[in-house]
Amino acid sequence: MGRYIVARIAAVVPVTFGMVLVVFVLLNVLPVDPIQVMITQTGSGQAPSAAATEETIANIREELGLDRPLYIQFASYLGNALTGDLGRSFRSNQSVTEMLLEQYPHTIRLAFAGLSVTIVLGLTFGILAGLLPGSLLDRGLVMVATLGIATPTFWSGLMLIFVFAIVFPIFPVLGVGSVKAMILPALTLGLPGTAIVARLTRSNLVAVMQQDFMLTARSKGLSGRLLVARHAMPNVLGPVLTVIGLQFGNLITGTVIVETVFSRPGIGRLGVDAILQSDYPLVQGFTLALATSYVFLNLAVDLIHMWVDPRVRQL
Amino acid sequence: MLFRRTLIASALSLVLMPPLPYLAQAQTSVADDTLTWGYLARPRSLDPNIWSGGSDLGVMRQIYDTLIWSPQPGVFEPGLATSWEMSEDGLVYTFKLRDDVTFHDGTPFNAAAAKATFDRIKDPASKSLNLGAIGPFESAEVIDEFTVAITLSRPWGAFLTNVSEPHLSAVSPTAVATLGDDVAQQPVGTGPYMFDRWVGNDLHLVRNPNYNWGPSFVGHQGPAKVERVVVKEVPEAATRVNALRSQEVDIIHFPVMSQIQKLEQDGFQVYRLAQPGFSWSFPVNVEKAPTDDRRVRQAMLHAINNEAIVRAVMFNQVSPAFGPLTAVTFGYDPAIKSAWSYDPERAAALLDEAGWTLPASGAVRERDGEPLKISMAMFESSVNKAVSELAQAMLRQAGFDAELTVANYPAFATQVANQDYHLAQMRWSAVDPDQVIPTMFSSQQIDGGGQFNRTRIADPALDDLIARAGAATDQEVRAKLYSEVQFRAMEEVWILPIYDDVWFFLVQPDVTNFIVDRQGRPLLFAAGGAN
Repeated sequence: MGRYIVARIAAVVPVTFGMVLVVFVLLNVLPVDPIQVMITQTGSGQAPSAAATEETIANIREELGLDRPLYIQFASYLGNALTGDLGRSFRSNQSVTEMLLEQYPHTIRLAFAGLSVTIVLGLTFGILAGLLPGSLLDRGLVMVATLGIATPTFWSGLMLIFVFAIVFPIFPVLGVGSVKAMILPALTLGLPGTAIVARLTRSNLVAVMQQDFMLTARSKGLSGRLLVARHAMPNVLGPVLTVIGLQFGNLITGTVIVETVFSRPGIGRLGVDAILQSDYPLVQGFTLALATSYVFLNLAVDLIHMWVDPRVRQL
Repeated sequence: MLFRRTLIASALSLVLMPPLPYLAQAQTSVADDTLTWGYLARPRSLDPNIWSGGSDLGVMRQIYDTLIWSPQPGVFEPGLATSWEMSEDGLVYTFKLRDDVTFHDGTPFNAAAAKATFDRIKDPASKSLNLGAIGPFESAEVIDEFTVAITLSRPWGAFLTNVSEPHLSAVSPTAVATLGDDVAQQPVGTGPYMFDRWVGNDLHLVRNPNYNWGPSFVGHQGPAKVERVVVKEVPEAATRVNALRSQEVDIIHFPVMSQIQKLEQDGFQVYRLAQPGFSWSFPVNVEKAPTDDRRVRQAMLHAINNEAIVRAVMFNQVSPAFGPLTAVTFGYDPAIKSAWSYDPERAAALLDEAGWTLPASGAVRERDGEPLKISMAMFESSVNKAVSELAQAMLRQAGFDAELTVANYPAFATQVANQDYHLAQMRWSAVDPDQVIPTMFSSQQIDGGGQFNRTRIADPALDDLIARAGAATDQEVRAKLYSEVQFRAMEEVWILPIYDDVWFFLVQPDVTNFIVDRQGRPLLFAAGGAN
C-alpha cells in the first residue's frame, strides 16, 4: 500500500508538467497580445486614461522577456516554478505565488463546506428514498433531485439570496465573515452534487436491499438500523465515494460562480479574471494550483475508498 | 457506523481548516462610523502615477491629493498648491505649495515631492502608463522648499486639467523608495484616508487625523467625517444591489440598470454622473471597403436609432449621443445635435446612390453581385454586447450583411490591430477633449501605441486642427477649434455615436453629503451619517 501511495504521488509530476505545457502552448497560440492587457483597463470595460506610447510598449515587452523565443520562455518559467516563483501578474505586478496563496484557503474552505452539504444531504435523502422505494417521499425526492441537477448554480445562488437574505432576511447577502454567511454559498455549491449523490445512493441501496446476503442477515433477526448500517451501506458507499471524489472537481470549478455571486474571495474568480484578461502568469499559476489539487484530491478519495471497501485493497 | 464516520470526518475537515482573517460580519451603516463601498473588482493597483486606473482612480481619490482641483471645466481651485501662474509663452507653470502638509508616513510634502511626481512618470524605468498625463513635460525645478516650476516643451491648454486629475497625485517619495512596486498595494499619500490593510480582497482605509487641506467645494473641512472606509469587492451587479438592499453596504456603483428606478422609488439615493469624454461610439474604419465610401457611412448613421437602443438596453437612464464628445465635456458644441438624425429612408437612398441596391429577393444589398458585408468587432463588458446586437439588427434591416464578433478585450484589441473590422468600439472618460480627440483622430494613433484611432482617418488638415486645439491656452479659442472637430467627425461619419456614458452611484438613504469629482469619483471624506 505504501508503494502504491508513493507511485500515485510520483504520478503528480508528469501530470502537472503536462498541464503546464498544454496551458503554455494554448496561451501562446491565442490571437492576443498580452501587452494590450497591460495598457488597458478591461475590468470595467474602460479605455485607458492615457495612451501608452510605442516606446513604453517595447520597453514592457523586453522587460517581461516576451521578445524571447517560446521554448526559452517556457524553460525559464519551469525553472522559476520549481523554486516556488510563478512570476508576476501582468496586470497587478504582484507575485503570482502570493496571490494564489492568499486566495486558496478561501476556496478550499468553500469547497469543503459545499462537499459537506453534498455528503450530508445527499446520503440522507438517498437512504430515506432507498429504504422506501416507490413511496411518495421517494418520488418527491427523486423529482427534487432531478431539479437540483438541472438548476444552474448561478441562478440558484441568486434565488437563495433573494429568498433567504432579502425576502426573509435570515442570512447576509455577502458570503464572507461568519459561519452564518457560509451557509447560502455552501448550499448553492453543494446542491447539484447532492442531487447526484442522492440518486446514486438511492438506486444502489434499492439494489443492495434485494441481494441474497441481505435476506440472510434479515433472517438472522437483525434490526432495521443495524441491517442498513452494517450490511447495506458498505456496499452502497463504494461507488458513491467515487462519485463524491469526481464531484470535488465540479465543486472546485463551481466555486468560480459561487465566489462571484456571493462576493467571496477565492482562487476560482482570480483564475477566471486572469483568463479574461489574458494575464498569462496568473493563468498558468492558477492551472498549476488547480491541477495539483485535483490530483491530490483524487488520491485522497482512492485511499478512503480502500479503507471503506476491503475488496479494493486487494488491487 | 461508516456513514457516521464519514460525517464526522467531513465535519472535522471543516473545523480544522486554518482560521481566516475574515472581517466581522455586521450590518454596516454610517452610524457605526464605517462607509462600505460595494466595489466592482479588487483594485489592481493603487499607484496613481503608474497605473492607468479606470474606476480604481475613484479609490485613489480617497488616499491621495492633487496640486489643484477642477470642480468645473476650466475652473481651478487650490489643492496641495495654494496658487499657480503660467509664464507668458505658456511654457512654464510655477506652483506655490502649502507648507503644512505631510504624507501618511510622516514625510513632509514639499517642492521636491511635487517634482518627484513628474519625474517618476517620465522615467522609463517606472513603466508608467500615464505618460499622456504629463504631455509635453520637459522638466521640474525646485525653486525653494515650497515652490516648484514645471517646464513644458510646447504650450499645452490641457495642462492644468491634467494636474487636477488623480494620475498626478502626490505619492510619498519615501514610500516609493522603500516599498518599490509594493507601494501599489500599500499606498502612501496625503489624502483624507490612509491605507490600513487588505482583508481578503477588501481594502480597509482609516481616517487621516491630520487632514486639513481638502478642496473647498465639497462643503467640509478638516479630517474625514466617517472614521473608516471599506472598499468591499462585490463583482456581481445583482449581488451589489442585493447587498445595498440588505444594508450590508452603503454605496454601490455599476448597478443593474433595470433596477435603478425601483431602487430610487424605494428611497435609495441615485446619483447619475454624466461622464465627460468620448461618447460610447462605433468608430468606422474609413480605410476598408465598403466603409471607405462616405455615403455608406452616412447610411449607417441614419440607419441606427440610438434612442431606441438607449430605451431598450439602458432603460432611458442615459442620453443618446450625437457626436464624439459627451454633453458635459469642455468644448462640447450643442449644435451637433441637429447635424444628423435617425432616418432609414435617407439611409436607403444613400445606399442606392452608392450603387448598393436591394435584389428582387433577399434582404442584403448588393453591388455588382457583391453583398454589402461589414464586420463589427466588440468586447464583452457591461452593455456592449446588447448595444451591438441591436445596432447589428438595425444595420441588417437597412440591407447590410452585418457580422458581429464579441470577444474579451485582448482578443478585440488584437482584431482591431489586424484591421479586421469595419466597426469597432470606443468610449473614454476624460475631463478634457485634449485627452481624447488626438488619441481618437490623430494620424499618429493609427498604428502602434494603443491603436486608438480606430477610424484610421489620416488627414493632415485634421492633424493640424487637432494640434492647434491642443496648443491653444485661451479657453474660448480651444472650444471653437474642438467644435470644428466635432462637426467634421459627423460630416465625414468617422463614428456612429450611441450614448453619453453615465456612472451610477446608489447610496443608502442615511448617507449625507455624497460628493463626487468631475468624473464621478466620490470624495468620501465629506460624506457623513444623518445623525
